[in-house]
Amino acid sequence: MPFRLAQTAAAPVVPWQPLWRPGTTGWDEVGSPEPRAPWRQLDGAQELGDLASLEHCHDEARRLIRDLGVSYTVYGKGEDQRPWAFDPLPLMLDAEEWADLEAGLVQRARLMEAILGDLYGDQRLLRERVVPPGLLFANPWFQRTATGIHPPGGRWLHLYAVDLVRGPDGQWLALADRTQAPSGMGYALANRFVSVRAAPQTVAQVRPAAILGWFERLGRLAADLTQVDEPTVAVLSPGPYNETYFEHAFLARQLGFVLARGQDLLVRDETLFLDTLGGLRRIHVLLRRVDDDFCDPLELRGDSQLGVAGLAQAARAGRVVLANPIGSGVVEALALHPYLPRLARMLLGEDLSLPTVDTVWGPDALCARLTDAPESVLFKPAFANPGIGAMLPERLSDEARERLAEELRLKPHSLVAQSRVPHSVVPVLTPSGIEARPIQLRCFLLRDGEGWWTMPGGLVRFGVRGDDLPISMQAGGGAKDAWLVGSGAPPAVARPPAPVVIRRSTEDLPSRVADNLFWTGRYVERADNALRIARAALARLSEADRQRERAPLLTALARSGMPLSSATPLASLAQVMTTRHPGTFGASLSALGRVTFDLSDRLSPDLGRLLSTLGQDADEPVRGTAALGDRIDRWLESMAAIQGLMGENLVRGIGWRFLEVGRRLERAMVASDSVATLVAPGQPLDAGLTATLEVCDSQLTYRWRYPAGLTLPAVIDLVVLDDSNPRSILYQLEAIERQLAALPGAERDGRPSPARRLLASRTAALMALAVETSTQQTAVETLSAVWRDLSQISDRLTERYFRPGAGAAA
Amino acid sequence: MIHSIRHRTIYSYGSTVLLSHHLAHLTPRLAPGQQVLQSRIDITPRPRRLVPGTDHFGNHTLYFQIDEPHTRLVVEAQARVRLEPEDGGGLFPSPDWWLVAETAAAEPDLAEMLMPSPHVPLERVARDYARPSFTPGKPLLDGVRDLSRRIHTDFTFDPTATSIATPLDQVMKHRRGVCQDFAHLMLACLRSLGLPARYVSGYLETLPPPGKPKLQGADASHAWVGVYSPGLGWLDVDPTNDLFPAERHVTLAWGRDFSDVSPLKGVIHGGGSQTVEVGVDVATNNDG
Repeated sequence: MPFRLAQTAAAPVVPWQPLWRPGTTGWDEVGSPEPRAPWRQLDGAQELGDLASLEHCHDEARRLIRDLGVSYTVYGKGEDQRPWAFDPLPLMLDAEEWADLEAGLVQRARLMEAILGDLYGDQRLLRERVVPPGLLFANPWFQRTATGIHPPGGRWLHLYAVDLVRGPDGQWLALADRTQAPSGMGYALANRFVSVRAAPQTVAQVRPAAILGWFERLGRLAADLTQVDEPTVAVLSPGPYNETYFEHAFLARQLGFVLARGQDLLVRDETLFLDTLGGLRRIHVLLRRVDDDFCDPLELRGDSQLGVAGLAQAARAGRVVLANPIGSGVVEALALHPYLPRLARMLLGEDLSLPTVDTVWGPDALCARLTDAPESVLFKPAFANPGIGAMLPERLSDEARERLAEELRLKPHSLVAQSRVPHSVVPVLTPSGIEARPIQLRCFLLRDGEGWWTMPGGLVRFGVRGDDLPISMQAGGGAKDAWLVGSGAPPAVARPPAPVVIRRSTEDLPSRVADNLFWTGRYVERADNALRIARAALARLSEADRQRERAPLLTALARSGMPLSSATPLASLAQVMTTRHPGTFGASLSALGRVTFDLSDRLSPDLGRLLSTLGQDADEPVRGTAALGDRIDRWLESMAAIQGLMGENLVRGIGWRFLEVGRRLERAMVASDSVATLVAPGQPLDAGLTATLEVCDSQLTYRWRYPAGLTLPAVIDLVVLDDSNPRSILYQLEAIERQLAALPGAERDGRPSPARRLLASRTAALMALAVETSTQQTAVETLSAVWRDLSQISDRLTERYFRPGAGAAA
Repeated sequence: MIHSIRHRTIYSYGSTVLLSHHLAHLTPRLAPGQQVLQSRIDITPRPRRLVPGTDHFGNHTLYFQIDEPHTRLVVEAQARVRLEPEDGGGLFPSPDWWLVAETAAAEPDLAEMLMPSPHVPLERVARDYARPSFTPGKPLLDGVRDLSRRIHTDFTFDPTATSIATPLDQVMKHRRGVCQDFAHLMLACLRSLGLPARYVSGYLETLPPPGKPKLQGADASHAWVGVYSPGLGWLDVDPTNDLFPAERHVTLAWGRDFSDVSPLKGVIHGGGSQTVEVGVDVATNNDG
């Protein structure tokens, strides 16, 4: 139909197309002037059409990402989690072309698995000199531990990912293989969540192949790998400091897996268990996101805090399935690439269908590239993580190049030279309009009883610059969804959603989480108390007529961490706020930051935000008493908001109970310590009593009840014994008992647990106290006994609930 | 000659250990000139799981897990081993070291012992130190003997100078260490020249025969080096005592370095601080 063709040529198919300038020697994914077939599907697309709608879609995606909490941790800056940089315009892929690529990917997965089987098995490849021995023995990812482990059914890979680039001729090339703990699939799923919601009408029109079916298959993988009806799968995560922690938590949540760290798991009887408050729960399949050498501190790296001691032995005994098995990282080595075509013929009897980026390994070949064509290659570590440590020899000085040659003479196996391939480019919306950015495509495969399955699409990552340097989320850049369209594409509509199962109890609470919640409660109260004492001290510093009242508070401050210098009290008080000395506000706050960061997937984002902003201005210099007072008031307000959120926004599960016990315990402990200091014999009594009421936030009630004035028995009754005063010590003890009684293990052999018995005896002693005859001396004795008992109760709770294996031992 | 070995390790913990995992390389392996007549390992408290195995290098391993709460762990390994007297390896004629270095890398069975390993990084300083012993055309074992003599002369045996964690460059700098350090140093020297060499863990007889001096490293685990010489196979050399072991060295296990054959390691849950006490006795019966 020539007439229609002419018409489409006149008006752009995609409204933003006239703005598209690929400007590169690399392959143009869109195609110009006429867009390629898959991009023509965007004809008439509502949300991805003109620039204005793209911008709107971009904003919408940003909002969705914030709501989903998609983030990416950047190393080297502590806990800098940045929001996922996502561009909603997807990479459009043609289904027919995809079928070829998919065949190549599946073949590559089979090849990698065959190589692993040989290298950890009878090593025919070495004996027949198909590959040089250095490929294995210089390879730090060759795990000698694994030579005795035979994965059930010879399945060396359950999950597999390949990074692809498209060369200037449009041919896809494999750049790197991810075999030990492939990452990115969770981000691919999050990308799809966002792109579908940001551009719903376009999705309805274009109908990209659904990827959810692939994830459902992943969810069923465990049943396929074990002969258990309802196997338990855990995701082993290195924790929130890991760059891709978001996706560990996200995948676990989406697929109903347990999210665990090394310290949540233990091996007993060559069997892997989750260590929960309710006891040990068997884990059948471990989806690990911890690298090979960190998996087991007994047999692999002894300094690893991320693994589980005895895990290798459990795998050897065939009592846990690791996805993927320890040792599978050995084939990630770039040094393997030159041999792949030969290995495919030898091990599979097939020609390699998906080519690899041209790579050479070995000192002679490397030196030749270094001198002949330094501009055409990238030097990369032959065995390290494929994403890091690339070097551009053309940018090296002569001297540096000479050093490199010398290094190669000593360690001839350490580097490969990979040919530079101009990456294909896609349009990315930037503040300055539509720009061309280089991309890599990460494809994901999984293997179940029926065979290998490729996720239709994948994770597209784009670089910050227009060159072919390795693309890394660490260095900036961003991600896109990939939409597979056209005839022959897998079905767009996911199967009907699984029936909803109502769940209430969220617990199998790992001991570590209970421990952290307990300490969150304790540090919040400790920080709050330090602030109250500081505020009271400040008031007495600034008002000349209250000088006499200072002494008890200065003693209390000294006890809670740091003595004030009498020469420059204000400056040293400001310092008390920021110092890291134990017991001070600064120290409590930083400890609080540590334990809550560890809980980041369990606390509400509002709480997280409050915690992260609190005390941010602590290091700024203060000018004058009033400014310091304002600052302390502001912090106390934030503390109140944090306490409120903890009280109102957490489900009353076991976890909340531990938080509550921690808060009440600490409040009672710091109160007994502070009051004992303030009213101690030798302190001016009136000043001590005033300060006590202020620190315990009970002045108003006191004035109502006792307008006549301050007496020691009345003050002690109000702040220690009055169980209707929510700041009194007895009130805390009763609150602790309510929570302990509701925890598992509240009773032992029909009697209350040791912690509860101790608590009951101290409560009874307080109730029986003849407060009318209190003296400064007896008050201090009473309060010290409270403090001592509570400290013992804390130890008993630690023993019973927080120690590894404690749940199992009980 | 028959040696009876008793190797006792006692861990004392500051607080109760609830669960522990251990891996031992404490059963002597089959080795050239060595025959294991009998061996056993006794562990207190009794392990819940006890799994013997063979590692990548063919050494005997024992994995065990204890879940009885304890504050003290005693592992006692005993063995009776017959050593066949052999002539000192250093007396055999051997090929030019350069020929060995040229061909070893391509041999699957040797290449592993040429590569850097956790305790044996390949650095220039080791190669520079080794060079004078391996002049052009020198027979391999002459070079090895010379290197062993120089290490023995240049370095002082000093149990207080180093720990397992002391890196090789510190040993090179301070010229002090124990048998492990000297073995790692010699491995680094040989491998940096392309010569295959392996780490051997074992024991020395405790009481010297009449008229012979007591050797350094007795009363404890000992370590030395195996070098590969074409035609002869693997030959042992002990740089700490500057000799080619014959019938006074009992082999436990070998690997790339200490990390492959650590006699006993473990990961414990709980335990607090810990102290360890090791005692080795080797009794020799010359009539055996």
